[in-house]
Amino acid sequence: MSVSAPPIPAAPVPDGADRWRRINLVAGLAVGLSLTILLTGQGFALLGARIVLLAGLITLAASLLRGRAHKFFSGPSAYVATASLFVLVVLAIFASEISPQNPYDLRQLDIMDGRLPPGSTTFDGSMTYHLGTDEQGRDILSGILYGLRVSLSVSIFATLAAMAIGVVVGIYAAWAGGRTDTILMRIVDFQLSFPSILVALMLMAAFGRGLDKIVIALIIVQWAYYARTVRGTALSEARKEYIDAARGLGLPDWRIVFGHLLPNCIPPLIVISTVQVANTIVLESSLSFLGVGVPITQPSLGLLISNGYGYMLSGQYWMSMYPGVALLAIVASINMVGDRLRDTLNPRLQK
Amino acid sequence: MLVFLLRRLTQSVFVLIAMMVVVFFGVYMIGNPVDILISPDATPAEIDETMARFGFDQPVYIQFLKFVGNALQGDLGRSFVHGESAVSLILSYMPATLELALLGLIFSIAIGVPLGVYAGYKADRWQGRAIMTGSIFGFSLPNFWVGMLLILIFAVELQWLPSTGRGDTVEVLGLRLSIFTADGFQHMILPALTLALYKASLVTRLARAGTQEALMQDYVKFARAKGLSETRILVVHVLKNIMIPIITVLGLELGSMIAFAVVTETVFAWPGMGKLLIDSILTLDRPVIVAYLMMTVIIFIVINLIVDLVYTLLDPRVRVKGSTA
Amino acid sequence: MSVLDVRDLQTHFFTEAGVVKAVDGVSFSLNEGEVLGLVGESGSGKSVTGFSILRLVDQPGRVVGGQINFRGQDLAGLSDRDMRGLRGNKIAMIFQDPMMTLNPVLRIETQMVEAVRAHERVSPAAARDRAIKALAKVGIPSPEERLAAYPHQFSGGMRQRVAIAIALLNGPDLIVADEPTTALDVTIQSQILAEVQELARETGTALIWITHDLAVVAGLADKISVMYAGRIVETGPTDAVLAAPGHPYTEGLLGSIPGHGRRGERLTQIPGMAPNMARLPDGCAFAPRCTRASDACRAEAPAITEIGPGRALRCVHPSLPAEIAQ
Repeated sequence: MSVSAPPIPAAPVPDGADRWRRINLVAGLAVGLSLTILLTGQGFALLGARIVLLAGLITLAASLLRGRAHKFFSGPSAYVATASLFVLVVLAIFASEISPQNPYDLRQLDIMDGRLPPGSTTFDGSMTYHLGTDEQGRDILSGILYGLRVSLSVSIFATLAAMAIGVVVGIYAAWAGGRTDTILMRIVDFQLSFPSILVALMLMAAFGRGLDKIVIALIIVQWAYYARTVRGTALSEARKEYIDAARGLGLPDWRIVFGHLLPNCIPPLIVISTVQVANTIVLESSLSFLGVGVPITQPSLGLLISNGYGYMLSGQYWMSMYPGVALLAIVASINMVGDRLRDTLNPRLQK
Repeated sequence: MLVFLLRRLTQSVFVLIAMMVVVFFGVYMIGNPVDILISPDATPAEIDETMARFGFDQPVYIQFLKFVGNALQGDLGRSFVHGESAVSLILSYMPATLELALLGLIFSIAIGVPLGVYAGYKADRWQGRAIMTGSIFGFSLPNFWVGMLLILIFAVELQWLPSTGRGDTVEVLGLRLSIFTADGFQHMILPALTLALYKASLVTRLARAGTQEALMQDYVKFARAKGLSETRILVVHVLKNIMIPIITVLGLELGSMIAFAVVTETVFAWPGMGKLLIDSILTLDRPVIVAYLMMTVIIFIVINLIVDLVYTLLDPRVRVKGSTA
Repeated sequence: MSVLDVRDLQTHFFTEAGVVKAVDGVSFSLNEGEVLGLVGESGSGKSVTGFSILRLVDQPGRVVGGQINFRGQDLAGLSDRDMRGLRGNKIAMIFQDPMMTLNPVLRIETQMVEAVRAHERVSPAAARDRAIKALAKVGIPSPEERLAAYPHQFSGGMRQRVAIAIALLNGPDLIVADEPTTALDVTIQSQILAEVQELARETGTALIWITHDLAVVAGLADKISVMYAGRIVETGPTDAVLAAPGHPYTEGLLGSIPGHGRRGERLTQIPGMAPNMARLPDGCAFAPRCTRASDACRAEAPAITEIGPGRALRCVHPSLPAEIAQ
């Protein structure tokens, strides 16, 4: 045989990406772990965990944009969205340090200060309620900062967890094929055929209120979507030559799946998961608004809005309005950033 | 065509059965509903008697079989709270939700398509970009907040429209509908708009993407070469091509619109299925919850079937498959 | 009577990779009833020339210079509205792939009637009548029934006939046909060529037939212009150019037509590849592939020179002596 073998095709990965992949993995784990600690621990008190969280998030963002920053920041809207997102996240993380009052510490409240309009001060003038107070005398601004914290952490954690589960199931289904694949996808399709809010409602009705319960419900609602998407990607990637090449080298299955297949299935998920965080925030706030979401002790923005709803029609709009604006700000920022990401990472419509 | 229908029907039956199992056993876990129906200081004898009357003392699988048996006869139990048949209860509330969802769908098309097509036409100019940014805000706003905002602006401040509740109804084909009365329609506008906003934003983006793609096609160039006006090109040539995927997506979304009506109905105190569901969840009215889920599944299946049929009607390439010159 | 007089047309594309001079100083003219064959390979700028005449050049390109005189009027100076009035009316275009140019979700009737009513206030019934007559003219059987059909229900040849019918609907003075038979079977090709020739003669319509295949225009065109890298390199009456080509590129094109040479003889191949339009060499664009190229060619691009009545050439090493008869 005089024909020389073609060079073994390597997995399509640019130079230096290995190091970044490791960094991303560490950052992702850091974010996940710190969120777990914060959510299950004593209400976000641990400053160390929060700093790790912030560092992890920034690292992930930086790695996402490396080499593409120029393209991402294509216009004023990109700057505005990214800046506002960053500010809101920082505010949420350092809420307890920044806010003028801890609205869930009963000792700091004075019910005589209830239902004050924005700009009013306490009786002794020591503190200004910049955005007014609710019926219990809680400062709306502080409530918003704490609420932002709950909304964000619940949603980010649920999205990451749902993604992890969905990715594992999706890749497994694609890799195993045959019967396993069919069964798993039937389950996925079944769940996907129902609108998320309905599924979430049923689950929360069954579980009752609670921070951990809503997180679990949100994870259950979302994982199927990731599973389906990843399975599709995995199927088409598994057909590519580099997988054959890896098999030809005699690598064990798990090595191929985790070392070669998985990293190439992640990119399409980046945009999806970003937008999903926004959707999860909206879903959680809708559930909280309906009364089946987060508990009263740790309200999210949705719950704050719900609390103030009754007062709105009588003109005391600030109790609902400002948390609503904050909710809009965070969701819109995430969506705009996600939009820019989509345009940056997948250029379509190239003439 | 017949084969296609038969296959779909069989699939649907399987889905229904699976749904029944999931729903029944899921709802069964919600909690002991007996506690709702009897006062806290009831004697054990009274509790037993209530449980026997409602069949709670039987083993689970017997309850399930009874449930299936009754379901096949159209009886999904009686509402614990209201006393009447769960199915008829839901059916009586259904028209309100359906007309709201339908009007919402119409609004979302009426708003979304023109905006989207225009945005696609002026994709690189400020008009296109502004519309796209607007659409992001459109689907970022949570349903309930939009409703509240609309109430605040149009009902409280401007006093143009009523804030809550349903207006006058008329009987049409055996259904009580409010969409055909002036007062009823006025009451519907705000909630329908609220429902529509999210979908309208999605439709705008879809329409824009479709228009952008369509404008790159040769038939648009040919139409220009024929000397047709840009308006005609957009409204006749482009629109027909993009409506097909839009209708498909929207048809599937009608179901989720009915689901999201749950939130809207709560905000506007609209007496529909959604509000009934929320109340039932909070009062643990099991039969109603089960009945709601089952009927929703049926609605979904029917909608999917209709969408498939409409799709074949709209796209002549699919319809006239196999015939050549 | 001169129908079209193009002078020094320039159409440039402003891309991220640089300015692509797709059409760089093209001139030709056409009289009533004349057929011009515009020949060149992909990327030579021939299609863009056609689009430029109708002012249908897409972003990022636009006409940056020159004159396009249609019946004495410079099209470049017309308003959009006036130009639209001419398109499909006095100047019509036929595209390459009729499957893509006819809207797949609209009936033929719709697409023909709108072409009529865009320019004339006639009733839908009258427009429909015209459509039926036009379909009959291009040889489509039972035109009345065919009107109700959709494009995908026609075969390729039939579709192109429909496109030709649409072009003829309003009695244009000029038709620009952009490779209309390239996508068709060879037998259909010759049929349509013959039919178009007949129709053009009948109606006295001037025709620009754009193609990459010299053989196609051999029997059809009155004169030929050969394009390369955005410029016309040779022009002349068909018979003259085919019998005695001047430019080495034309020579190459002729030599690569099967059957043109003798049986058993090798087909000539033009060495090299099509030029990168974003980075053209300083001198003659054909020099890298030319067997006769010299340093003079590579240094400076030759200008187009008239070498006889109606005959022009852009080459300093022509195949024929400078004084050429006929």
